[in-house]
Amino acid sequence: MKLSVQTKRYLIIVLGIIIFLPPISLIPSIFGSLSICGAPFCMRMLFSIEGFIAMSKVLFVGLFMLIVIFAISFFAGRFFCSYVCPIGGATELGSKIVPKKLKINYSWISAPAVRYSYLAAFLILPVLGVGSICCSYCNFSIISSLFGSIASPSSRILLITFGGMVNLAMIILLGFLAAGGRAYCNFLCPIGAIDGIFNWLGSKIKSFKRIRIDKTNCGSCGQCVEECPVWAIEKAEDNSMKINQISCITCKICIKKCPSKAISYRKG
Amino acid sequence: MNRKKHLFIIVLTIVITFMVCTIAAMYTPPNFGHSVTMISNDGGISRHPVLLGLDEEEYVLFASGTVKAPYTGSIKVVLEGEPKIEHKIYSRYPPSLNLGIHKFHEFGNDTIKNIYPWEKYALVVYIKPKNKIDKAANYNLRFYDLESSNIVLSIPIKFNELDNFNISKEVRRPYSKVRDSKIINPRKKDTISISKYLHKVSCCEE
Repeated sequence: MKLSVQTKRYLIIVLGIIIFLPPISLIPSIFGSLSICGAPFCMRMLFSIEGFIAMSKVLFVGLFMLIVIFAISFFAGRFFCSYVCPIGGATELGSKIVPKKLKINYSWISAPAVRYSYLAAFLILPVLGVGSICCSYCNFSIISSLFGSIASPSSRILLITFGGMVNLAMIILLGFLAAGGRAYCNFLCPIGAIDGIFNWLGSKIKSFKRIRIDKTNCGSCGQCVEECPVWAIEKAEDNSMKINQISCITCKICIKKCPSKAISYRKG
Repeated sequence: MNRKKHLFIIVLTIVITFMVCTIAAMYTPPNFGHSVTMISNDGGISRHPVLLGLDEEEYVLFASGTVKAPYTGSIKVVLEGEPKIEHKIYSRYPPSLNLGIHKFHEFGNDTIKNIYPWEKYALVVYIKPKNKIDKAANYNLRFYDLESSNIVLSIPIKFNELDNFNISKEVRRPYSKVRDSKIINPRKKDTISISKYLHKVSCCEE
């Protein structure tokens, strides 16, 4: 039996959930942790007020993962976000069981504008002494608690706190109920925001493979625009389709959906 | 859509996002507090007291951290203060599905059992007071070494009428070292700097 690319991707996401998140938490267990939230895993705290170099001492696994993720994104595309990330993957898989009628389409919002102003706030507000949005509103923490709550009463209690409720609402609205299930990733993931820049920089080098559209074959039907979970494909002024590499997560859904086979993962 | 309108929408999106983030960062919920701590032989470190509001029906206090070498042993966790308030202490460790890859400490009867250096702990204290909490009352979540009865960590808890946006300044006064209820000004000499704190967390020697 030959599995499709998307089935393989979903299976890898499930594997990511099993090895990174409670109740199994295979890899965090090796380091005496419960999930990828907190030391030594958190990749987001590396950009907090304490400073990258200081935090990298306690978040050494997170730093290693960050280097690997950014390197993969630069050379090959955002495969961590689309294939491995247990957080974005969990919301994407969760959104599959929500009926289409209930789905919210956020594609009218400029995702890069929200994403990079959120990233700016994430980096600047602690420096200004205003406070931090690093942990209180983090989906790494809430998805871990959500999976942990299956067997742990302490995780269930954290879900009923103010931060837990706000996070849960955001996960539901921007994750499970979002068309494509990746609105949270697209708007509020600081790692994804930086990863997008690496992906965009790598796409400028023609010898690196990326999701690209062959304009000669493209029928401008707009099917790819409809299906992209991160609304990274847009219609250009000349009616041709254009991939926004700063948002693309290399999930390859558009390749499967394109009726004229104009989209492929190839060199530029 | 013309170019000017498109630009206006992008600028508006940026301004709104930044404003929402600022409000979210400043807001401190009155019924939840997270204390990042460290257990040690010399009384432990709690970066700031937990400030909670009055008149809430329930509170959740989350205390997490690591054990500083050379401390090792079992620890009784007690919520001290008069009058007594109803509470229950939960531990996130050991994981509900322990694969046996790592030797986690056990938790039972409000006691952390056999914890050793650089091990992480995460306690969730669920407080549900039956009566109104007195503003003047002092509460502490204290960690006692079972063998010596020495305090290895003390987390002060303050209940007060809180302005949810102003208290954040006090709570987030960065990295002040707190022993019992005394807040030491971070600008003074005896303050622990974040680089020193992190050095303590990541290395074996002080």
